[in-house]
Amino acid sequence: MPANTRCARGHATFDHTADIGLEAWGSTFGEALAEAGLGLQAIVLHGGTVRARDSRTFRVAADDADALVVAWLSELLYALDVHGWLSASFEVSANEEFQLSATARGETLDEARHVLGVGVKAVSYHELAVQCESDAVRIRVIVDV
Amino acid sequence: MSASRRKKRSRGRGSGPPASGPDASQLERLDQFRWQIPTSYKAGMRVPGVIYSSDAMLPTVVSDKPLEQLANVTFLPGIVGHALAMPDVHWGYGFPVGGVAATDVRHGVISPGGIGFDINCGVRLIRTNLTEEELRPRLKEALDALFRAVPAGMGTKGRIRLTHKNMDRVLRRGAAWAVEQGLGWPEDLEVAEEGGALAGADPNAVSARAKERGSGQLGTLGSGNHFLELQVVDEVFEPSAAAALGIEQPGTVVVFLHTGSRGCGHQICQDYLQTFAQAPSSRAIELPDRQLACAPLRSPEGQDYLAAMACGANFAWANRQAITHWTREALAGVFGRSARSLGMDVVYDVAHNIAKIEEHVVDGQLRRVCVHRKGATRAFPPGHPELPSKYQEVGQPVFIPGDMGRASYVAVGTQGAMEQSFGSTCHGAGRALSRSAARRQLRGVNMVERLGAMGVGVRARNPRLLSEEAPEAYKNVADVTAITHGAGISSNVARLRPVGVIKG
Repeated sequence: MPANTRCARGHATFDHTADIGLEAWGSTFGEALAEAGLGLQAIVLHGGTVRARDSRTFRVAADDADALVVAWLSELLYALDVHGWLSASFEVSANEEFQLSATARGETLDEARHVLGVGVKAVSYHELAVQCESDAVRIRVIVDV
Repeated sequence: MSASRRKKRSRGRGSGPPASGPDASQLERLDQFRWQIPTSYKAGMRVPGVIYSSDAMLPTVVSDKPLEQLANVTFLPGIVGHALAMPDVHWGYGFPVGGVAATDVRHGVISPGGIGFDINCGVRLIRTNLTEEELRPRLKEALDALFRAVPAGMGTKGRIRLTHKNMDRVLRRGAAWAVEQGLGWPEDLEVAEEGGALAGADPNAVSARAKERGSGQLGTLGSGNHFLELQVVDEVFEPSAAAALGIEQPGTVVVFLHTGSRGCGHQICQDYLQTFAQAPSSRAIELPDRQLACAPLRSPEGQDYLAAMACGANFAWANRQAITHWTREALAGVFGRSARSLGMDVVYDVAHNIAKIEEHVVDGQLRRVCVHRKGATRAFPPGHPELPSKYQEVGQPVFIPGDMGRASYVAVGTQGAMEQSFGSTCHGAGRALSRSAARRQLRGVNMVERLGAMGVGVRARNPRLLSEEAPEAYKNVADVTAITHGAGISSNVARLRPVGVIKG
C-alpha cells in the first residue's frame, strides 16, 4: 500500500519481476482512471514538463470494468506511439455501461525537452483488479515493458 | 456505476490477487534437473507442470510467482504432455516468462498470452572476421556509428515509413520483403526460423491500428531489455559445432541483436485479447487468469489470431533484417571494408515468443500440436527437416543472451529437447531483480562508467535506464545454461563476452 494512500487521488508503481505494476486511486472510477493515465505517463516519461498546449478527446467502451482499464490505457499508448501525444492532465468520466469519455490537456512529444523512460508495450489483464472501498476506487494493473 | 456491479464483474473472470504458488514441499523431484507440479496441486490442472532448475536456483524460482502461473497454463483445453518452465523462468503475465505449452491442433486452443505482446521477440547472431584486437581501438567509433544507424528507444520513428501496401507486404513476407528492398543478402533468409516468414500470414486479420503503430517502426530496436551488442567469442566448448556456425576462433567479434515486432505485434496481441474476451467459443472456457484468454485452434477466432500472429512474427523478422543491414553498413564504414569482406554472415535467427504448429511424439504417438513458446527457444536436433542444410549435422543454433556485463551463450538443439520439451530450451538469464529494486540497488552508480571499467562500451538513448538492465538485475546465464546443457535440452557451444552495447 503506498505511503500516501490517504490522499483522495493518486498513483504509484509496485514491483513486478520483469514488468511494472501500476496502482491508481480516486474517489470515483473516473478519477482513478485519470490517475492510471497519469501513472502510465510517469512510467514512459522520465523528464521534462508536459505543457497544456492542446487538448485531445478520447472515447473508449468495454464490457466490464477490467476491460475498460485495459482499453483506456491501451488508447493512451496508441496515442503516444502514433501521435507522440503526452498528457498534462485528464478529465475522465465513466458510466454504468463501461463507456469512458476523457479530455486530455497536453502536447506532442518534443525530444529536445522530453526525456523518455521505458517503453510500455501493452496493458495486461494479469492480476488486474478494480476494487471499490468505502471512500475510494482502486485500480491495480501490470503493464508489459 | 454501482460499486457492487464493478466488484462482481471484476471477480467474474478470475482477476485479482493470486495465490502465491506451490512451495518446494508441493513439488515432486523427477531427476537432477527437473521438478514436477502434480495435477493434484490445484483442481482444474489437466497435465502436470515440469520445471527445469537446480538445487541452487530452485528457491529463487519458488519465491517468485511463475509456478502458480505454470499451474494455471495447464488449464488450457487440449494441452498435451506437460507444461514446462525453463530454468530462466520468472513471473510474467498469464504465462510465466520461460514457459512452453503444446496443445492438440484438433481439439486444443491457442492463447495469445502464451506468445506474449512482443510477438516473435527473438535473437539474431551475425558473425564477423574481425578480432577483438582489431575492434578495441575503434570501439568508440563503431558504437557511435551503430547508435546512429539503428534507432533505439521508446516510440522511435524509424528510417523507413511504410505505405499501406508495403506494410501488408512486410506482414505477408517478413524478412524476404526487406531483402528485396536491398536490406540484406538472399542467403540471410536461409538461416532464420521459417526462412524469416511464417506461412499463413493474412494482413486482413490485422487491425488498422496495429499496422499504423508498426508503419514507422521497421528497423528500430525499442527499449526495455532489447539491445544491439558487439561481443567476442570468449570460450569454445564444442569446436566442431562452433566451426559450423563460423565462431570457432576465440576473440572473434560477433553482433548479437535482440528485438521483436514493436508496436505492431503489441497491438495484435492486445486486439485479440479483446476479440477472445467477446467470442462465445472463447468465453465458454473457464480459466484462472484472464490473461490466458484462448480460443479453439479450429474456431474462426483461433484461425484469425494465427494469421495475425504470423503477420506480427513477419514484421519482427523484417525488423531484425533491416537492423542487420544497417549494422553491416555501419561496421563497413568504420573499418573501410565491405560487409562481405568483414564476413558478416547471419549465423541464425531465433524466435522466442511464438506459437508454431509442429509434430511431436506425445505418449508414444506422433501428434500435430501448437507449441506455445513464451520466453523459450526452439532447439531442434541434428537431422530435423526444418533446419537449413548447413546445420543438419550440428542441430539448430540457439542464442541465449545473458546480461550486458558478463556473458551470453550459443548452444545447439538436441534430441533430448525433442524427447523432453517439445524441442525447446531456455531464452536468456531471466530477471533476478525487479526494475525498481535494480534502480534502488544501483542508486548513485554511473552505469556507463561502471560498464566501461568492465571493458564494455555503452551508448544508450536514456542512460538512466541502464541500471534497470544492469548485470545484477539478471540471474547468471552460466547457471541457467548449465541446467539446459545438463538436462540435455540444448548443448552449449560457446560463451560470448560483451564489449559494446546499444540500448534504448
